[in-house]
Amino acid sequence: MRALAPLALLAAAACAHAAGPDPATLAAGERAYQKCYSCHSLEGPHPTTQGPSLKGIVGREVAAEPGFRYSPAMRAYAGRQPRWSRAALDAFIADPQAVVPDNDMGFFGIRDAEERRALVEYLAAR
Amino acid sequence: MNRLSILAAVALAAAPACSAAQDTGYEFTTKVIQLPAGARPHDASPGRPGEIWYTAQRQGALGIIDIDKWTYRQVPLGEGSSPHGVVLGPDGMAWITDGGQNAIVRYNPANEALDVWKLPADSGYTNLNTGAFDKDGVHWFTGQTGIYGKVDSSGNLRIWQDPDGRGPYGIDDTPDGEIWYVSLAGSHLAKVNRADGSIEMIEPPHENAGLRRVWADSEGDLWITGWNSGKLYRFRPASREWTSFDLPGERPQAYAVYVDERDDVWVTDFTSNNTLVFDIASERWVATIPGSGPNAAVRQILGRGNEVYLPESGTDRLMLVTVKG
Repeated sequence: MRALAPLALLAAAACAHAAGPDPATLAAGERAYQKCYSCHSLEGPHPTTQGPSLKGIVGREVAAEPGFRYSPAMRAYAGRQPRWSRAALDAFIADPQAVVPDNDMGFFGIRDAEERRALVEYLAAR
Repeated sequence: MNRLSILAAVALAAAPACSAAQDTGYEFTTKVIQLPAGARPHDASPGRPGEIWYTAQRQGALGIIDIDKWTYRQVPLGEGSSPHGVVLGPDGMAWITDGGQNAIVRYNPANEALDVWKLPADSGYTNLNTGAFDKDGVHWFTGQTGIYGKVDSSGNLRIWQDPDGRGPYGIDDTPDGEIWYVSLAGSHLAKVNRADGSIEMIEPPHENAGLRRVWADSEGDLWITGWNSGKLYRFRPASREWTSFDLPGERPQAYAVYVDERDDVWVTDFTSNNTLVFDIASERWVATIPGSGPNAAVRQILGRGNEVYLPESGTDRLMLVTVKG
């Protein structure tokens, strides 16, 4: 039975992944997104928001929204981190200036790891 | 321009004032104070006589600069604080729009007491931005997620939703004590009906101009920066007439605007890293003041008398400009 327990956990995890994040996580992520909302839309490029859209951000190329004026720092970061993986997003959201010094974003990060995880899952679902 | 930059750097090291006379005859001196690394000074305001207040946005503190001694200290504002704006209230206290605490925070310099007036819990995070006082001493403020509101000296607080959603940013009072704000993402000007909290929205002449900040001159005309359009706008409430003025250079990004007590208009341009002075009478740019370092990012301007304060969020410094004459 002991040998089966890890397999059962793996199977449960796989099912959970296939089903997507639970509603509570998405709800928490939606609340966390309110900290991004002023400057980042979820509907695609927006003519007057101050940041690029977050639609499809997970897996998207870094600094790649057409027409957006990215800072030199963010363009340089794209050379080191070509795509926004979940891990890259989590690290950036935790401390944007530490990951991309001199970027233009006027937000200093979310310290709470659970809140960041929920936000990334919410963005991944958009 | 290079000469001015070098002079500014000397001032930073030794803290003396330096002089600059430009071909327009506009004369001023500057001196720069280095603030704590990572403070990210966002807004500044006159404080008590002889003091400049600034928000240390990344360190959750109100900064207090002693102008004579040219020293600073910082007062922590509370757990999670991330202050954006600060203005001097009619009560002599600092009124702070604190996005991190989602609260209006009032600091009493007499006894260092803090009042923390949280926004209603159901408002969520509102990204509080900037505040201004109306003629009755009520503090009006904006929140960039799409709200504006007011709080009185007893802490009675109320908020409303901007019909355009995200964007409310700069706010100011006119000489007659009325309140106007601009929406950056909504790209509109708004006049607040102080009686019922409703607003009248007024569109600028250019679509998606991205109206960032607003300031009134002594005649009640409103001067407004267009972040996306790269223009300085004048809106004349009496005639409802808009006039626009191009900032110099390629693809300017107009951020802060302030009209000083001489009725000169101060504007920052992020693209050129300069602060510009505009003469209303001649409708000409009459002075250029470079940032003290690369990407100075002056996001707000305020002053008192012949002093103008330029908080440099990108260099963790504050530049004091003293205008001659």
